[in-house]
Amino acid sequence: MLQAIWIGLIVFLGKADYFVGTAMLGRPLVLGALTGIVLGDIPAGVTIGFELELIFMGMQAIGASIPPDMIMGSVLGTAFAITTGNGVETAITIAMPAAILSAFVVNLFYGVITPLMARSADKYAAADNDKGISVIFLSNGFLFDATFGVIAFVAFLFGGDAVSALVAAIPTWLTTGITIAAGILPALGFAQLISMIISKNIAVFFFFGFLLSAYLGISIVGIVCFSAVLVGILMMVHEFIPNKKVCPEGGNDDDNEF
Amino acid sequence: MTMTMNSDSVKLTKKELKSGFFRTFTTSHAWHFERQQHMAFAWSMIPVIKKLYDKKEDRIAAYKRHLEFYNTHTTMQPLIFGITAAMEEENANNPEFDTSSISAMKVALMGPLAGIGDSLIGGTLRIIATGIVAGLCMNGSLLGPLLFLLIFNVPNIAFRYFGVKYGYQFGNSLITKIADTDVMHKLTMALGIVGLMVIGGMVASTVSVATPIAFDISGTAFSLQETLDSIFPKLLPLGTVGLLYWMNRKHVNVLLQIVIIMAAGIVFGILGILG
Repeated sequence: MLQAIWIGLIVFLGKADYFVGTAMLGRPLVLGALTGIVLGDIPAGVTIGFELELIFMGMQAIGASIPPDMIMGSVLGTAFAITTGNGVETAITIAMPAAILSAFVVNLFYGVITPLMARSADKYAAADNDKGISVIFLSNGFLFDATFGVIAFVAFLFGGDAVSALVAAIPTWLTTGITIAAGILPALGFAQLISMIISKNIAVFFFFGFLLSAYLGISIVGIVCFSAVLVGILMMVHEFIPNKKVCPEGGNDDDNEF
Repeated sequence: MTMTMNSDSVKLTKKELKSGFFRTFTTSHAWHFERQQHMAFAWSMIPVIKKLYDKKEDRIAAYKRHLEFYNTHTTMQPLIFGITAAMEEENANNPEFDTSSISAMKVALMGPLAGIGDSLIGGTLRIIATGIVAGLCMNGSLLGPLLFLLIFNVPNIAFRYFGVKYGYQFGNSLITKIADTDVMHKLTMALGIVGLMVIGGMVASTVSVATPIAFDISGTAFSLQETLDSIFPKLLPLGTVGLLYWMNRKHVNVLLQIVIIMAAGIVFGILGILG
């Protein structure tokens, strides 16, 4: 029981890493060691944690993509490997389903619970209530962290078989549905951003950026470089053409802008 | 810093910047799909906004401004915070200032800095730190994880500290140069162009909408998605953004839009139209 509480706290800490400067507390390498300390086998915790680190090495949240939850996976994987006295293989067999199951809950928060609660922050903003914004931000973040702490606590109490069984029990239509929606949701944020900064005479640049990425696969950094050069060219065109006279060739779109 | 100021101008002090340094540690906490790091950004800006704006309407506008969509690499966030703080300061003192340039600046910087952060911090520093402690960890030594945290976090925190400091200075010097409105207008346009191109690129690279529809035409496999990709790649993400943009224009409730998206995900998933 006490161990289960500690396991819950470690997962909470791993999740709260985003509150303390993304200090890499959520890496399997660190979490495995902490799990080892709590369960009284530090060398096993460190080695298993590092093995899991190698597996999850390439996984970090980039942009809006949500990988399997390596925090839940590595803590439960290490914990069950130590308590059953087995090695890394057990850790991996448990870590993967746990990580996938947990990613489902992560998506539920990212896609439904947190966006809905964030609406209250807008209301407080409109009422000039900065305390309200703070409360919504802090409670939202820690509710997320704590939820996973509780899940880990319960999972550790019930054992590894229960974790695998639960993964199998979720209907696939729900998981696929949530996954599809998770892919679409960033579009909503972008649509809001576009509404905010777009004006008729620069709308075309949105499509330019889109096409550079869609057709040519240019990275975001590359697109910024291209756009900077483009701005330079537009400045130069302005410098050379409209300042001279009243622009003989039909004084087109750029004369008031650049 | 040589700035021509009226006697009644408000300036940020070390206190707000220091508080920003600590508050930006929380970037990505309470993250979500729709507006991502927006709440952490607004929370970081609260001391700045309260210091700069006496009028209630100004504060409300600023809170709303910083609750818009936002996402960058967490280590890069203090730098953007510093620049934003300097721009807010100018806005508080200059009635001619166009606040849309603040949002445009954030958008123009967040994408590239996220890319740099992902490769420099997440892809390089983290991997180097992991590599250095590999031997210690395989021997089961607790020194391994401790050293890992140290190697990663000394540069991480230093970057954050100097980010706020130089971000604010850079923002300030940039704004002094562009005090006249014509230049300001050009800058707003320029940032708008960069920002829109970044958003365009991010729509293509991060929004995922695809169809698994496929059938056989006289023995040849035909995949709708592959055909679409060969004609106009990322057409579905573009169409989705267009549809949601249109909904925003029609002032469709954002809550309703989220519900529609979730329902569409489940229904189209079951029907096999999206996947």
